[in-house]
This record gives sequence, structure tokens and C-alpha cells, in this order.
Amino acid sequence: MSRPFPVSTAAERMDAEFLAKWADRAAIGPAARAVLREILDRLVADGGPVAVNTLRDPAAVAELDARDLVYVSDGRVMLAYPWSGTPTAFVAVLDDGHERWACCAIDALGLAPMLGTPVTVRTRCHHCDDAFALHVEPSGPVGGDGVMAWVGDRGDLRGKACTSL
Amino acid sequence: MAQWWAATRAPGAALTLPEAFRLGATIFGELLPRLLRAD
Repeated sequence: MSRPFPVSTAAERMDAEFLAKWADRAAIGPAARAVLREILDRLVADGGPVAVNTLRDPAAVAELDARDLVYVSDGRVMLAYPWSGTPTAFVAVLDDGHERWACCAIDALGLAPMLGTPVTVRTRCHHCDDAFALHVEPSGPVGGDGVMAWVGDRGDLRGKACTSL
Repeated sequence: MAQWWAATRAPGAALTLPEAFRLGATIFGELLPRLLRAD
């Protein structure tokens, strides 16, 4: 079927630049790694944003910010991929019923594999603006036939909204 | 339609849902957990 827009694949998006970025991120130190775990846990448990001065090692956050693993503004961690501490177009209903926000469509789809539990993603169609929900198991989405995700040619997002379904 | 897509989105590409899930699962189900465990 011919589409009026480019269609890509996961493999094409995980190109050399993508892999180099993750290799660079993997070089963070133990303190940054520990504080990233703490931030992600808190965003799941409490939502956000997370005040930097409430973290066990606030100084380590700068390294995460420099590598685009978190976005800090006014002394608060506004997002730590895949979670956003402020509202986005992607509401994730977790297995325990709590609602959190995902940074973008790809992040929303990655929640269930990350958590190992089902997640329901609520958003709106970018084309028709209809609200819809997509149930995602750790092994993959249930239904959603015909749904496509738009992935921007992102470099460093720095807190911007990025993709749509 | 092509004009609408170009005007309402940042440059990029569409992924089918299975491909989008594959990308999300690789990033957040594999790469990020590996990074968090790497001590």
C-alpha cells in the first residue's frame, strides 16, 4: 500500500548513531547509575517532577542530564525516559491502576517490556484526533491493527514532545 | 494528505505498531535495564 509519508523499521531507527549514543550513555559512572535508578523508581511510584535536592546524590544528576537520560529544569527532573513528570499526550495506566505519563509513543510502547507488566496507553490519533486506548502486554500490543507511530528524527529532545500515534 | 503530514509533524518516519513496539521494547526492555545494571 502506498502511503504519503515515509515508513521505517525498528532496525533502521537503531542505526550507528543510535547505538553510539547508547554506548556513550552506558559509560556513566556508578553514582549517576544509582541516581537514575532512584529517579525512575520515584517517577513510577509517585509521578513527578522530582526535586533534585531530594535525591540521595544530587550532584550525579548533571551527568545524566548531559547524556540526555534526564531533563532538568529549575532544579527538578522533569523527565527521565521513558517517564515524563508532567502531562504529555501519552497517559500510561499501570497494572496497579496508577496513571503516569510517557515522553512519547515509543516510550509508551516500551513501558510494558520494561516493567514486565501490562500497560494501557491512552492517547489521541494525530490524524482524526479520536481518543483511543491501546493495551500493551510485555510481549507486545493487543490489537491496534492499523495504528502507526510517528518517530521524529530526534537528536537531543531536551524535554520537547516528540512522537504521535 | 501528504501536505498535511508534512505540515503537522517534525521530520521523521512512521513505524507500524509491531515495529514501534520492537523499538520501544529494545530501548526500554533491553538497553535501559542493561545500563541500570551495569555496576
